[in-house]
Amino acid sequence: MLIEAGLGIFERVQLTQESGSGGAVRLVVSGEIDMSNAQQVRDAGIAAVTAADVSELGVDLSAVTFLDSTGLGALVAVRTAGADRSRAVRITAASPRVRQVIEVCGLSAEFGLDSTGSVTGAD
Amino acid sequence: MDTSVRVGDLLRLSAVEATGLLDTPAEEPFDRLARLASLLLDAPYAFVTVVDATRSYWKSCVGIDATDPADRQNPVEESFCQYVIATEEPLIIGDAAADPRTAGNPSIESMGVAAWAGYPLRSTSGQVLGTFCVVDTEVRQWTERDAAVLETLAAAASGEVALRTAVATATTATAAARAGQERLTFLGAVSDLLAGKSNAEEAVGALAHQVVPYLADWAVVTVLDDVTHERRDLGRGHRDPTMLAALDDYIALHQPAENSPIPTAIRTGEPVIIETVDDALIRRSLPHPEARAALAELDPGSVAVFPLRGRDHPFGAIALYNAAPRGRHTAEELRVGQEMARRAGALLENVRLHDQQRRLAETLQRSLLSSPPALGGLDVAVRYLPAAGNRVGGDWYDVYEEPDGSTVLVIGDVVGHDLQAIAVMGQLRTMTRTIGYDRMASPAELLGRVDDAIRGLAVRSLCTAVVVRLRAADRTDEGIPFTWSCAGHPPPLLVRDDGTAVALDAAPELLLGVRPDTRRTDHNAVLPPGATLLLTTDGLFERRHLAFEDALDRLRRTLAGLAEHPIEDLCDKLIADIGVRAGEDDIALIAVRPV
Repeated sequence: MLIEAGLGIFERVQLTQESGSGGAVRLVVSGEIDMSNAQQVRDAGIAAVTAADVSELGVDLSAVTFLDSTGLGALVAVRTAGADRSRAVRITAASPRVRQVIEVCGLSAEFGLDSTGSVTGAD
Repeated sequence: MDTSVRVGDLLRLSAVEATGLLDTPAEEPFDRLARLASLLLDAPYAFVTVVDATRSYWKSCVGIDATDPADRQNPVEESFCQYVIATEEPLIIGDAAADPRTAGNPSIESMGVAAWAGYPLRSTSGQVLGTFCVVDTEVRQWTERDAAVLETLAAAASGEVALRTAVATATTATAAARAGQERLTFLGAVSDLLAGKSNAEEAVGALAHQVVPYLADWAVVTVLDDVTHERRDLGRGHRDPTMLAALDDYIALHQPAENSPIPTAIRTGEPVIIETVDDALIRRSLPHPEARAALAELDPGSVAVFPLRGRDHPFGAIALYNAAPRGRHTAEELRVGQEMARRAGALLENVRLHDQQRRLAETLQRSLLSSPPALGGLDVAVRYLPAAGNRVGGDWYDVYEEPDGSTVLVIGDVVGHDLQAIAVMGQLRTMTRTIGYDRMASPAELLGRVDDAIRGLAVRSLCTAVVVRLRAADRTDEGIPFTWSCAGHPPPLLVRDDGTAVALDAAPELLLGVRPDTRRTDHNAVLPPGATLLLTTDGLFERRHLAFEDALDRLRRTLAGLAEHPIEDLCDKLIADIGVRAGEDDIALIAVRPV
């Protein structure tokens, strides 16, 4: 890990970004993601995945305790921004609560989360 | 000697003003010093003077029996103090009539001044405020000791002045600080008050209460109607709650003339300040005698009307009235009133715009969510509940019949809580209906086509949905077979008449708006006689502090107890039991039961 940058503490959500080797970037989100802060998550994620020399983005949601549909929309927007540049966006970890929401929306495969709960794909 | 420049010096005059000594009665600390000078120098008169631009005011005057401030002064050009002020030096005159510096001074004649000796009375900043002086009616030779005594006593008097000034300054500063604090607190409270309101009428009503009694005895807030542009008095407040009935009477009757203060302020966008409400104004402003009588009950003394304006035109005004005993508004009240109206205007405009947007959204949503058609062989009930507060939602339902007699049930949830979400919801609903009706597609095909069509929408949107297709005519002893498909939405629930409730089970499939080429699956199930099929959005059961599965379980348990209720009743009880408690999200609901 080369850099660790606190991206900021917004209302009920905290964002941290870490740069790993080979252009992989990890975004760690904690707190509750809802319509009051989904925009910040979206902006931070898009900034991370579209930055120069980034090959893929891993999003760690293990400390997220609530994710509503606007939060989900933010994650999908980040994924789409990555897909536009052929960069993968994966959810590397998620709390059971968040995993359920992603699961119900049929998004597990899109984010490389398999339905049994273990993480698939490269981290 | 021309003394006028130094006498009229603005810094000196402001230092004089700051002493707070002008026109104040005699006080022992100064009198004691003056008496001492008179005694020690054996002079009939001794003075402590403060000199403003026009006169020498005698704070102390030993030898002159005058208590009225008007008698304790002389014009500056007749005073000897003017010379001390001009030179900023002591002045010792043994023979006033003969000395070229003072010869010709009118006081030589009028007061019998023969000899004069004075030292400057100084402020802490060094300004000469006046003098500490003694006067003799005989020509005399002042000694060095006389001068030394005078100098010492003048310094003591200056110290006394400094003390007074410090106290006066501190008092003024404290009062100013307190007024400033009150002002800030008040303006902050106005902002908080209005920012917390999501409804214009509520906000205006609250504003009128907030301004009394701080800015006025009573207040009326008038706002132009959005549509008719008629003036409406939406808020009022009175410092005395027992006077509210009288105020309401006045408001009901007043019908002010166009050239009266409130309409004028709204029309011109400028404040209207009436220091004294007199009969002429009242006759001109209130054409109706009943209105004038009602106003008289309120004993008006003065009124200040400030326009409320947003980015462009004034849309209302707040009128601040003082009853006669309180008198006209102070400069501070007018300043704060203007600032309050400026802030309130901006905030109220936001509330008004928000209101308009919300009404538009509600109208749009209602127009889109029509009642279901009467369907042969099926009982259908639908519900839509907006989220609490001002938030709009993107939930929708639709029930329609296809040409082959099939009934299609659609429930969906567009991500977002704004007008855009509603607009997208409207487009999706139309799209779904059109595609479905045209192609009579299976639920999975229908969802796939809608997903395709979303690409064509101007906005990138996400949407979850469930589509159910069933035909009452296909009914068997087992019940009515149906096909369903789900795009990232909570699954349909089946409530059997024995009280068991299950969520239809299938592997979740992707929500709409992510990947149009997603393969979608049709699932088959049967709706048994007496059972209820329930489609809902997550607003019904999802709670921030309850896991999805737990929430779904809770919904299932509640439904089990409602299995035998008539279908409309079931919907009402379901919402009453678990739906609206949180109100975080909007709720859409479709329930279907074979007849």
